[in-house]
Amino acid sequence: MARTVSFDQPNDTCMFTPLQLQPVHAFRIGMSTWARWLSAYLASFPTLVRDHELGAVVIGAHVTWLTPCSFFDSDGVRTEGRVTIVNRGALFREDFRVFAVGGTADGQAILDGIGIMRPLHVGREAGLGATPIPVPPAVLGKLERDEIDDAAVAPRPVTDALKRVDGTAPLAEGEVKSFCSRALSEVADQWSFVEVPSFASHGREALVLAAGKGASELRRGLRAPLRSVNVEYRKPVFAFDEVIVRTRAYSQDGELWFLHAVHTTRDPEPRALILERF
Amino acid sequence: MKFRFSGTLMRFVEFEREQEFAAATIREAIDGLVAKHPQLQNVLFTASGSLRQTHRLFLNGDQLGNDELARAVGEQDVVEVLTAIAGG
Repeated sequence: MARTVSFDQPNDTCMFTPLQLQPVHAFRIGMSTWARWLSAYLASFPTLVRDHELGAVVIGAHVTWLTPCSFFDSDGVRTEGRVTIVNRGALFREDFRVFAVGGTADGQAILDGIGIMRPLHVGREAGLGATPIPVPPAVLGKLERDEIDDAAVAPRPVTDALKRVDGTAPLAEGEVKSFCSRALSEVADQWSFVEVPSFASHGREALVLAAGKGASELRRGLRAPLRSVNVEYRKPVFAFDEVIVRTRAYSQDGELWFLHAVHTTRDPEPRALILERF
Repeated sequence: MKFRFSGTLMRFVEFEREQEFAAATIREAIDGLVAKHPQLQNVLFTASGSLRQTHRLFLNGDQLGNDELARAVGEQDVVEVLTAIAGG
C-alpha cells in the first residue's frame, strides 16, 4: 500500500492572503511533503544528494483549491502526501492534500497538490552540477508495488491550456521585469521552485492594475480567490538573473485565465509556463 | 577575451559576472581563469581535464565542444559559462 506522510502546522499570518492559503505557501508545503516522504522511506534529502548523488528537479507543480478557507477559518493545517513513480520509471510524482485543523473549517480539505520531479545525478563538485537520469534501480527496489505506476503519465495542464487558447484574442497582455535574487533561490543558486508563483502574481497584478477602471472582468484576478495554479518548469533561472514575465489574460469557459511565460534576458526560450485560473 | 558567468558559478568567481583575460586561445584564458579562481577547476572540469557534462561554454553564442578549446580568440570575444542544470 502506498506509504504516506502527514504533518501539522499552526496557521500564521504569512501563510495566507486575505482570501486563501498563499500559492507560494502551498508550494512550500508540497516541497516539505516531498522531503518528509524521502526522509521517511528512502533517505534524508541531504543524504540522497551527498551520499547517493541523487537529486531531483521539479518540472511540474500544480495546486487546486477545493474550498474557501481563510486565515480565521482554522487554527492550522494538516498535510497528507504520498509519492509514486510515473512515466515508466522516468519521474517521481507526489500527491498531497491539505486539510483545515480546528476552527469553523475543521476537517475540510482545503487544497490538492501535485509535484512532478525528474531524478538527477548530482556530481560531487561544489557547484552541484547535475544530469537527468531515470529513477535509479536502488530506489525502485525500496518502493512498494503500488508506488510504481507505469501506466500513469504526468499531467501538463499549462501546455494543454496554451493549446486551448491558441488563436484566441487575449483580454489583455503585458510584461514586467523582475530579478531572481538569492532570497528567491535554493541551495544550488537557481530559483527555488516554490517561489515561482510569485513571478506569476507579479505579472498578473501589474496587468490588472494597469488595465484601469474599465476592466472589471480582469479585476476578478485580484478580488477572487485562485482556483488553481499550475507551473511547468522548462529550464532553471539562476540567482542574479534578470527575469521578464509576459502575461496574457483570457476569458475561458466562464473562468478568467492568466497565462505567464517567465523568461530571462539571456535567451528567448521560456524558463517556466504558468497558468492561474480564477 | 571575457568570460561571463551566472547563477551557481558566480560564487566561484567572487560574484564578478565578467572576468577578462589577455589570451591567444580559449585554453590559455581558461588557464588564467582557473589560476585566479582555483575552485573552478573541479567545478568545471573532470580529473582528466574535460569540461563536465553539466556545464556548457558558448563562444559569442555558439556552443563549444571539448575539442575546440584551442581556438584563437581576440579582445572582443565573449565566452559564456553556463550550468545546464543543478541538483537541488
